[in-house]
Amino acid sequence: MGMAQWIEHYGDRSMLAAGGAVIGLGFGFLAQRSRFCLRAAVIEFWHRRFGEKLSVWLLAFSAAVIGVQLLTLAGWLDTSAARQIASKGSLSGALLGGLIFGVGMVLTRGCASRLLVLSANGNLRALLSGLIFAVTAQSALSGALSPVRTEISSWWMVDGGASRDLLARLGLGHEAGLLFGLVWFAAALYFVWRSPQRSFWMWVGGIGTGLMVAAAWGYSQWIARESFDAVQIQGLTFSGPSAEWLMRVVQWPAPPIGFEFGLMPGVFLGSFLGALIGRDWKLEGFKDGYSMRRYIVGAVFMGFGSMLAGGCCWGRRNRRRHFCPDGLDHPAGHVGGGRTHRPLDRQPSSKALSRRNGHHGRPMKKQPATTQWRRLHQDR
Amino acid sequence: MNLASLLEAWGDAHVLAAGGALIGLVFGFMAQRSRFCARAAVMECCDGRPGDRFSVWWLAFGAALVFTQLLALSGALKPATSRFIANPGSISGAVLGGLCFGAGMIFTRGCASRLLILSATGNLRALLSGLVFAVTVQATMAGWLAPLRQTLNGLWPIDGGPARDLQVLTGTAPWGGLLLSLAILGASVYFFWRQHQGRAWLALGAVLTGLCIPAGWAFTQAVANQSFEAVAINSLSFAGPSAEWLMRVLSSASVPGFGFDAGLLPATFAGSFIGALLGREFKFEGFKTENKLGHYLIGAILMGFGAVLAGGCTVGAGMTGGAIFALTAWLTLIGIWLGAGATLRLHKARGWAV
Repeated sequence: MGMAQWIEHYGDRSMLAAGGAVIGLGFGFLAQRSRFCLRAAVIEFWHRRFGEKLSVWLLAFSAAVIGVQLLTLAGWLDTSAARQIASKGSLSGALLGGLIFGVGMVLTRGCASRLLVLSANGNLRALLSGLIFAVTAQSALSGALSPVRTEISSWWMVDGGASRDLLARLGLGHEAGLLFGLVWFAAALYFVWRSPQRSFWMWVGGIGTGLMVAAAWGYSQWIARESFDAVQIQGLTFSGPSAEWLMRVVQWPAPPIGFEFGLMPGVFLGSFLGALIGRDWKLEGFKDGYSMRRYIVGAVFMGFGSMLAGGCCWGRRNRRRHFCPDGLDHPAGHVGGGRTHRPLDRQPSSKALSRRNGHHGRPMKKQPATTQWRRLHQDR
Repeated sequence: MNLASLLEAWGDAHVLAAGGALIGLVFGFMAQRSRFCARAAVMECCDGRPGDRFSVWWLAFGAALVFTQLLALSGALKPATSRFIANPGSISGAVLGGLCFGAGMIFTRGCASRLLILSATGNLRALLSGLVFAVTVQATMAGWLAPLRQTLNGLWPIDGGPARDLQVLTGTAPWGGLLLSLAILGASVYFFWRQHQGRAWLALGAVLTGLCIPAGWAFTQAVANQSFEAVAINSLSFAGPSAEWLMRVLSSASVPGFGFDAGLLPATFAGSFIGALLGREFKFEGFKTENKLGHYLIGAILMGFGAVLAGGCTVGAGMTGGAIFALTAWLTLIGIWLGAGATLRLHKARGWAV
């Protein structure tokens, strides 16, 4: 039975949702097992410590680039129709949104997808931050914050089409994109090989996580080709779907189902399975009152930034995948992350620490850098 | 300048919102200063050591009852037209919702209005629980939990009108309500005087907190009398308005109309914030112990679901509806006390911290 019959039988929306659930399941499982986390990678990068997290991230990133470019070269994927390239975009929104998202990501200790993966492991901090993230994203999309978003986006607009495709701008073909991916992959291999804690899951998880992005593109393109209706092709993204799920829970009639409808529960379930297999499941809450402010502010930043930039770190990375100039926001996200992280390093500084420990006025001895490092990483 | 010309100049919605804001400001301030808290009152009662939280709650409740009944007797308020009595309701919903709400209130360490007041004093636990509460309320009203609510409400439905009016049901109208209210107020004043002699400010705060309820009733009734449009009379409530504000933030496409509730919520927050600043009680506070977050989440969800099922929170159903002697409101109030007491027992039996 071919895809055309399936679509005829179940409808293309149900097929999209089913595919989203399966791909999400794979993504959630692999990301959980490999501890894939952009935030940790950014922090390692800014500390010039090219370790485990950065290697996993590079593996996933390069695998996704290679996968998408191979699909394109094989004629399976036509990225010029993707929302990120075909429609009008805003450079100011991408840059500022990326920065805000990066700041929020470091404050919240995980980007949107990581929060989802973590909350399925019993991390209630991530669950709550995810709720705040979804509320803010929805508010920025079509609620009270949307005028602000529209205003910032209007500062610097670019037309859709070739001008947003980084490859076309540079006059390069998809072979060059593939080559680019291979170069990054080689770098990733080098880092993994150097990393002392390399393991099976790091390899499989990292590469598999990246391939899931390519799979999402390939699958939605497949449906789009077979279906008679207009189907938006897309990779993995988490900001839009979380806002959509929030509205689905609180409002009737709910928005129509689609790829995103299956994706979120799929990722959650996949990560949950991964945690069960790895015996990582543990209910966790906030440890001290001090960190809560950071989580709340971070989740609000991330929600607003993701909608301003037009996607979370995954959604945006998709775009980088076919190299549109909005790939700019990705470096911007990195810089934003690095910026916040710098001051955060020093955040439990003498004053804050003494206040927390009840020693008013008397400065405490500054903690050694290693303790701070551990504090920042205490929840993965 | 009288109310009619105000309404003409500014429109019903804005006058209602402004009035809600004014009353909310007083309520937030007084409730913060007097540490008005239904949960603490239940806990003191269950521990057999009724202290100042218990007295404050009953004093506020008694004041709300007496003055609302006086309004009703003087004709300045027509309780029969309010949603608590005129609309069809549900006995099963009131009882089950009250039990759910009471249980949730113990888990979350504060009922809906208390969460709002606490979050304005820098309590981030209360802020987050309030968000979860609002999302659950909205989901129960018009989202995923709505079918469950309808099923539970359908177990024992009740018609609107005299069948929901406790005074009519017991044949004690029109004086029975006032007599009972006076008895409650008298008992609480006596108790307060015996226990906390000389704490006049605390008593004043409690009474003023309670007086916000009749103030809300009188104000919306006055607007309803003057306006050419249909204005629903109402007083303080916190479940509906928090869902309304959530939707206002989430989606501009389906923004609910402005009204009394729209002004009430932010003003209560502001009033409590001012109270905390004056009393030097503003302080950022988060979770201190590791595993309490789950309790807060469960509590907020139970409370949100229960509030919609019962048609109000401790203030919205218990005090606002109780003051006009609506049958379901009293059932809800009793349900809240019982549910909270039972959950407290459970906490003690399992050794959980309360």
